[in-house]
Amino acid sequence: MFKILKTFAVYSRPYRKVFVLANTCMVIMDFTSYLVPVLIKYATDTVFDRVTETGDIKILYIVGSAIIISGIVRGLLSHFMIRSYWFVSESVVKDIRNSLYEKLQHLGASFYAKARTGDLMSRLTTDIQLIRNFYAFGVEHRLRIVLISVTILIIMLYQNWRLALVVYIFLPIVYLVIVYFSNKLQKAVMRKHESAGELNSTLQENLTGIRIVKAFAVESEQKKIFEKSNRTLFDADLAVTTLQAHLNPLLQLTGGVGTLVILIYGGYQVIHGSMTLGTLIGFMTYIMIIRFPLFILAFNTSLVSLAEGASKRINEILVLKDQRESDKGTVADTIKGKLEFKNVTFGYDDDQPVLRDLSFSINSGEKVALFGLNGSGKSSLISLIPRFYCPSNGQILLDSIPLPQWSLEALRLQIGTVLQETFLFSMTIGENIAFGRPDASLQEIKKAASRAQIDQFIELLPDGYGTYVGESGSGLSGGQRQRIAIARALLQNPRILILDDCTSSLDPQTERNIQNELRSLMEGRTTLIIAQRISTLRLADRIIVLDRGMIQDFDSHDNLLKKNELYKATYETQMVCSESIIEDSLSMRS
Amino acid sequence: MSNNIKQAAKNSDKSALKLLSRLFPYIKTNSGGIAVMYFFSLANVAATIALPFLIQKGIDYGIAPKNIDYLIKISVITAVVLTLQFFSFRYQGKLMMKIGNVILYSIRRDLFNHIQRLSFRFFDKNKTGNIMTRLTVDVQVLEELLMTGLDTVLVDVIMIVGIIGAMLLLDLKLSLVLLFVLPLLVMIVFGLQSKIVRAARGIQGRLSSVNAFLNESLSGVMVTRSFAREERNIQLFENYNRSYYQNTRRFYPLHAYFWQSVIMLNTASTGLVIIGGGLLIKNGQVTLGVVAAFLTYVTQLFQPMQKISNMLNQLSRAYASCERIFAVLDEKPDIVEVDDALKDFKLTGDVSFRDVKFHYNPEEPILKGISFDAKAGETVAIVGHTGSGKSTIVHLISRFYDVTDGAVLIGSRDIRNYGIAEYRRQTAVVMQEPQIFSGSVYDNISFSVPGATHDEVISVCKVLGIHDMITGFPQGYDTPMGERGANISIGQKQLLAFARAMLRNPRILILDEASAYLDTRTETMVQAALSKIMEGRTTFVIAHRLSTIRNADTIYVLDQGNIAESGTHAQLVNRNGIYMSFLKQNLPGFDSDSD
Ligand SMILES: Nc1ncnc2c1ncn2[C@@H]1O[C@H](COP(=O)(O)OP(=O)(O)OP(=O)(O)O)[C@@H](O)[C@H]1O
Ligand SMILES: Nc1ncnc2c1ncn2[C@@H]1O[C@H](COP(=O)(O)OP(=O)(O)OP(=O)(O)O)[C@@H](O)[C@H]1O
Ligand SMILES: [Mg+2]
Ligand SMILES: [Mg+2]
Repeated sequence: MFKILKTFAVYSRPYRKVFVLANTCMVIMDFTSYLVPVLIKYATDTVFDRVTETGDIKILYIVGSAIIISGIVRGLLSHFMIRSYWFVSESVVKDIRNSLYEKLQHLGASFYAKARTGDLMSRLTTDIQLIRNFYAFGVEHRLRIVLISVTILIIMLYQNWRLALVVYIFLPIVYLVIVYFSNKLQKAVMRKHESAGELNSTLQENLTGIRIVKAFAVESEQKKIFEKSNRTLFDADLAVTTLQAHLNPLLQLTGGVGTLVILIYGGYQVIHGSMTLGTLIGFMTYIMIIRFPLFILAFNTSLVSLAEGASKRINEILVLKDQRESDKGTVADTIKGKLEFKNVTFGYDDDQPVLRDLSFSINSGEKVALFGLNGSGKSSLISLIPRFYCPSNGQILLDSIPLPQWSLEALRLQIGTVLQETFLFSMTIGENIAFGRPDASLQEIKKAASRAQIDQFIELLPDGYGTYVGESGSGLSGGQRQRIAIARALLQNPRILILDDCTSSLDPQTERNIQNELRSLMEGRTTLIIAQRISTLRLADRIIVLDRGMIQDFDSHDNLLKKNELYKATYETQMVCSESIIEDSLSMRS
Repeated sequence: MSNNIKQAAKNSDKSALKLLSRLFPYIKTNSGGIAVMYFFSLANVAATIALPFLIQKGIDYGIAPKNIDYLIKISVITAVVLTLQFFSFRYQGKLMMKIGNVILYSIRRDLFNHIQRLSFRFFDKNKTGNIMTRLTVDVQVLEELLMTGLDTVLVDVIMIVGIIGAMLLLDLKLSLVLLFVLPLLVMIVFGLQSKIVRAARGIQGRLSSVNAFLNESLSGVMVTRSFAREERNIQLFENYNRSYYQNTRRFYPLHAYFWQSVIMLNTASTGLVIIGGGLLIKNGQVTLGVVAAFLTYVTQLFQPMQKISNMLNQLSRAYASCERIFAVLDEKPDIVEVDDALKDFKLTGDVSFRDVKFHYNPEEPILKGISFDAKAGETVAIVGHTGSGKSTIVHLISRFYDVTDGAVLIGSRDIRNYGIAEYRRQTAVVMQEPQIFSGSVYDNISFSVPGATHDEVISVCKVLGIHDMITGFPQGYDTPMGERGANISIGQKQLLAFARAMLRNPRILILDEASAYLDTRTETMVQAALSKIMEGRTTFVIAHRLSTIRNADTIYVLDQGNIAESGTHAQLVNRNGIYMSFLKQNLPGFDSDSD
């Protein structure tokens, strides 16, 4: 329990006064609740007799009212206690949730390459909920279990130590049984969480890939996979509920046996005159009180240990180093666009370099294309420029200043990137285009759209820019999605534009139109284009030919045609019939 | 207030009936178990009511008159009742949990299986997140109902009646306390608690928006990163979070009030029993044991009341969830098999479109009358502007959608006459966006032919020429793929998708910009392999690169929902139409700057 409190001490500190208040209310409340059995004992032992004998009923009313008043006090105290605990729990959890989100927004690309959305989501939902419950009633219950059982023991010992001992002899046994159960319960609940997570992942993957599933008609295979997860969850659920079904009657039985013991042994004592009837009835009330800690003990033990696991998983993320830590840079000048790579080596895993010892420089305002086979490292190379990843060796200079010295935000805001895989958010088309600049005017949005050749299409839609785009852009054709992503980058009005194969799904005419727009737009700004089509590559001043992470050549189109095998071969394949076509069409024109 | 209660009760009665009638098939299969469960529940109730009664007897006739024999007799009976209670409670619980879990399991299974039957249109309209919620959150709401409430309806009513009956039986006058306790209890339990549940529902809604926002933030994190939009996202999230938080702050005072009233009433009724009991004892009208029994009964009344109120509220919540669950289950797949669908056939590969018209939304016709014939063994290319309907045409060939008008003929028979699963089994698609699942490379390729051996997978990869690429991955065919294939390049993903399609050995192959991300050398290699494999079979190719389409037997140029041009590459070049204008963009001689 203290481990959790310590882990999140930073978060609970602002609310510690309320937390203290909650605990105080709880202690006082429990003490007032012992008053009731004392009063009942007093009533049955003394008052009833006195009333019968003297007929004076005033004292009866006094005792009765005292019980009622103590009830009101207890009620009020419990009110403040609940409110305070819940206030603390919701506030702490709100702050943790914000911190987690902030952290996740800033965690590096290497974290996300390995992370599982399902796993992250479960930390952010199930685990957070456990922490909430821990603060809302986990602490309260834990404290009360100790407090109530100890005070009741003292009171009972004080009133009749023999009977108290007989009753309490059961407790260690009961306690052991409960601990045994709660250990099992905790494991079972954990497994249930895991199986539920498993089922969710299976489901998520099936639903995101449902079109492929249908295309290959492998629904029955998917059903089998789901059936397995479903079965596992069923077993896990059943294990938890069966444990509960075993435990609850046991707890009930404990209370019953306690009462029975009091009836027999207490009755025996009363008959022999060593105890009053009132004490006996008072004892029965104590048994009722002590049932509460017994009932919650198992639940509480498993809650606290589950919350411990949850706090560990949450903390794991909170303590990760994120991009802000490496964001020591302060340079926030306007980028001119001169890029230098000096012996840059990079790999996702340390032992497998993807880029090897790259050295080249790009002049400001130059258009450079990247060309290479699949997997040669083009996308990896450009991901170093906005510092999604950092090179493991070597240095990248922008305007002669090492990249790490640039402020991350300034850097990224001036670099417009269109990633190879288009991702659209489920918002309107207008909001998607304005993603990087939410304050952009409709005018600006339209302009960016028109540059990306998508304005005509959007305006034909019934809701225009307000058209809601489905999940990852469903309802749009591949090319329409790509052009929205291009518009999104253009709206940034970037100093450096990076286009990663982002016209691959466009017909040549649309592509050419966009390129013409870009040509004027990017005048004087550095542009990096990755492409497989020669016609696109030709737009660049110079072309980098990348081969298995190394630069094979860096030259103009014309020179590459002369000296680079791969480039030449590609050119020939793509242009093989160009001559004949030109001839044909020329002959037709004439 | 009482009107409200009646209304609420009536509403939940109606919903409960409707709900139960839909759930009936699930419950029916367990009806034997339910009957047994109720038997044990009743035994449990009987024991619970009997215990204070026995204690009262023990005190009044055993302890007070110092009758040890009687005390022992009562104690033995009490022990027997306790044992009975223990076992019936235990079996009741076990049965209830078992039945509940079986029902949940069956609902999850039916939902999933039904979703697998639904067609593209359903998934166009419904977000993954929403469908997920049906299977997780809504099922969980049912879980709460089933786990806590299955036995409530009957048992707790009997419990209340039993307790009141026992009190009346013990002493009529002291039972007057009930006149004070019952109305208040009903008011608190039904009035306040339904408010609490309503507030809780609001909170649940906020929490879902917090989580939905989270989910999308995680999937789109790279885009956020490249636009340096972290701070704004953080702000947006804080807003969602705050709105949720403020809702909870309206919620928990209600919760506090609820418990406050319960505790006050509980203790106060004890006080009343003492006063009333004292007055009656004074007149010699009741015994001490009766007062003791009353003290127990009065506090015991509360629990079943609360459970019933809980149950009613949960029913209305569960009703909403059930509605959503059954809405999915009621969803009719719009691609259905005719009753006498062909099951045993071998496709020749002939595909014809007869004046096919198609639209996703009635206002926007996409295909306006497409006709063509593709013969077995042909390679057919479809070109056109982006958004002109190329993917739509091949969707129709895969029968992901049915035509609005006209017909798609497969080997002279309407496509709708074939058994869907078998038809798709003889076709294969490589889609515009390669979809990689977590799991190994091998798992991803054999996805299309579950149970394919390693050797089969490897031989397909060898034929396609990507075996070396795969063995170059850290663990070869066993390399685990990150989520959505995050740890390989896009071109590599597309190649895996190719292998996945070819493993099926299809009669009809559809390539929807399947090589858009491939480099030319790799593409040439894959094409050469394909033309060998696809000998005598039909291939549809959508592509923008001249090198991909120029060898096709027929090229169809799509424009404004119609086929504007068709023919071989040479014929289309001669026509000097749209196709030619596309080509010009690819050619150095027609560069706009040299124009
Ligand atoms: N599920 C859908 N719901 C509604 N409209 C859709 C849906 N899918 C596509 N559309 C629309 O239908 C039209 C044709 O889309 P289709 O995907 O067939 O184009 P395409 O020719 O394949 O384009 P691209 O080359 O860009 O992939 C587009 O205007 C698109 O917005
Ligand atoms: N997140 C990652 N973790 C580990 N390896 C990766 C990761 N991303 C890419 N790789 C590997 O790094 C190499 C280079 O990948 P990259 O995406 O840079 O290629 P690319 O040149 O862009 O290829 P393509 O033309 O297919 O897009 C590939 O072998 C790929 O498998
Ligand atoms: Mg790439
Ligand atoms: Mg398409």
